[in-house]
Amino acid sequence: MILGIDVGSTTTKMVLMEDSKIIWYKIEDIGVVIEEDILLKMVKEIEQKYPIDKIVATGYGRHKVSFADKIVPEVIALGKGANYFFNEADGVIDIGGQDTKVLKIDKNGKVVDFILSDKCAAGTGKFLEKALDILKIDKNEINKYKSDNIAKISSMCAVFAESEIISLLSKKVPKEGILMGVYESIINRVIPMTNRLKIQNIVFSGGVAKNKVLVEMFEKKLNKKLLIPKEPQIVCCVGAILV
Amino acid sequence: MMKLKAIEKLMQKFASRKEQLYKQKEEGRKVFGMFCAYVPIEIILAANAIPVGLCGGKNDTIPIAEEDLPRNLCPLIKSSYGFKKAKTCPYFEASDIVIGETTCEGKKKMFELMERLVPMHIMHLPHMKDEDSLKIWIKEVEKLKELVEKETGNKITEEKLKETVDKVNKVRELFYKLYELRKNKPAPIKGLDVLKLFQFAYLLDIDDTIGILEDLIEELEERVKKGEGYEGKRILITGCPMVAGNNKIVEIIEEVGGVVVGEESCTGTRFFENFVEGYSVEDIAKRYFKIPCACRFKNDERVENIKRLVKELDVDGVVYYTLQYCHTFNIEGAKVEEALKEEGIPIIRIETDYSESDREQLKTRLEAFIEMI
Repeated sequence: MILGIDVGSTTTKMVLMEDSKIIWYKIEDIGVVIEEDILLKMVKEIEQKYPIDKIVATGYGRHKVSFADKIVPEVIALGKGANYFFNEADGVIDIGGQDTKVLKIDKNGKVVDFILSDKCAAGTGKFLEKALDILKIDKNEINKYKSDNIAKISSMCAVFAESEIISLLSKKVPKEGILMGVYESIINRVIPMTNRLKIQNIVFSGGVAKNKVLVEMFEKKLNKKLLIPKEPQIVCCVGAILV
Repeated sequence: MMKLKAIEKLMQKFASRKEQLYKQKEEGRKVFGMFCAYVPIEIILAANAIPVGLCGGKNDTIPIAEEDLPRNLCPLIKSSYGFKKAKTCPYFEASDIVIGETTCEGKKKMFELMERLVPMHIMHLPHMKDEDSLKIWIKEVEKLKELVEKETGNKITEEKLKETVDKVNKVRELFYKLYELRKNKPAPIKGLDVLKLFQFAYLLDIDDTIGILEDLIEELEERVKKGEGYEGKRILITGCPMVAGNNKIVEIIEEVGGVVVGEESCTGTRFFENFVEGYSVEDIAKRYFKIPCACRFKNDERVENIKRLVKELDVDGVVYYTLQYCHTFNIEGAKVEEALKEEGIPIIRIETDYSESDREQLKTRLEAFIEMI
């Protein structure tokens, strides 16, 4: 059995696979700040239940897993993982905590081209998290907020967008409308990236893909369905095992 | 692999350059600071004066620069200005006069502020590449000659000019040889070593540069003969200059399994490509006029150059490097990307500044790129 560990910027994912089948997985709400001995303890616990032959690490904090047998760059892992869940995929959108990745992949899940958002938090999971903070909306209740009146958030910059949100709040614009505006600004940032890579069958991975309202808006704007696995947060981790 | 002796010598010469420069100054030689590969150093050398490159590559001097300059401006411009304002660069402080040129908007307007801190002379570099523009440029080089003569009190004779043209051409010839050697597989030298060579070539005494290059080529020929060198994905860097202090991208590339085999930049081919053919001021002007910088209008030669370098150096992938807010190179990147993709040459575009804050993200991207190609 191979254990994959994906230390992301905000969460850590663990997946156990045997012969290309997912046996077990877990998502921890702690990211790159996780201590190595805590990781090691977690691995020991899994080892009591399952025989682990090999450990593979990926993600922003992959170099923290010094006991891993293999380290895989997350872009490469993501392509492979997307291909595992959806054989027909030719592209991936991953909105993670740290950055947004858009990939073009071949039929074997090999990455042929990719774009990552630059030195900027706009359009990333962090941006959304920050907005939720200001709006005082619980992350777990996010799917309850929906509106047809989308507030316009014109700033592309996460820092400026923050003050824009505050000013909208002071104008008594309803929370859900502002949240929809935040979604729109994220989507508008990602769509040109997908256009640049000319991808059609797109897997949507990362935590943000769990947001049903955002996905619905995204699909409407793209005018097509996105391919979303049941657990979109483990795509990269699964891919790392399969590389 | 053993360290290259020539690179060790380079580091030693650089360490003692400050002292040497101030000694040369004491002997009565004038120092001309410059900001660009467009400044014809033959003219300066012919008057027994010393050219030194002043472009800033460090984050430390940016905060003081931002007291006067906007935050959203290229880090090279801010860092350069900051060095003068803080008086922390020995080369800047040694300069009797600084030569600027009308390359990009940012530099041009920054010079207007810098003029208050140090005597400056600005050369008009036309952005068009037609005959009329060349005429303007030739006149500018003639004006520079007059200025240098006035500042130094030395007449630039035909004989002196011939001597320095040959000398600077010698440097170019040696860099061509170095690039010839880098075509070998494995690559006989790391990109980080070559980058330092280019960076310090702007600062060192020209005779020292020639000596170091001659030693280096001998050593590299030996390595090639033995088949020694650096394996890894062969990377060509293209874009903005990486001046002394700014090694981030090359360090990351070579950390994640790449080896830089060429650099199409002012700290690269734009520094040495094309010889001065002839010994007149006009001949000198013509060579510099050809430098394919993105500040020029319709800079198609650059795209062709990149494609040629990819072939010659057997490059696996191109890293297009832009400093944040460098509009000229950033926009031209679209053309380069399109042209390379058409030929099936992998390219990744990186935009960064002098801070360390994005090192991990850059590593993620470059690691994936190198794995992909």
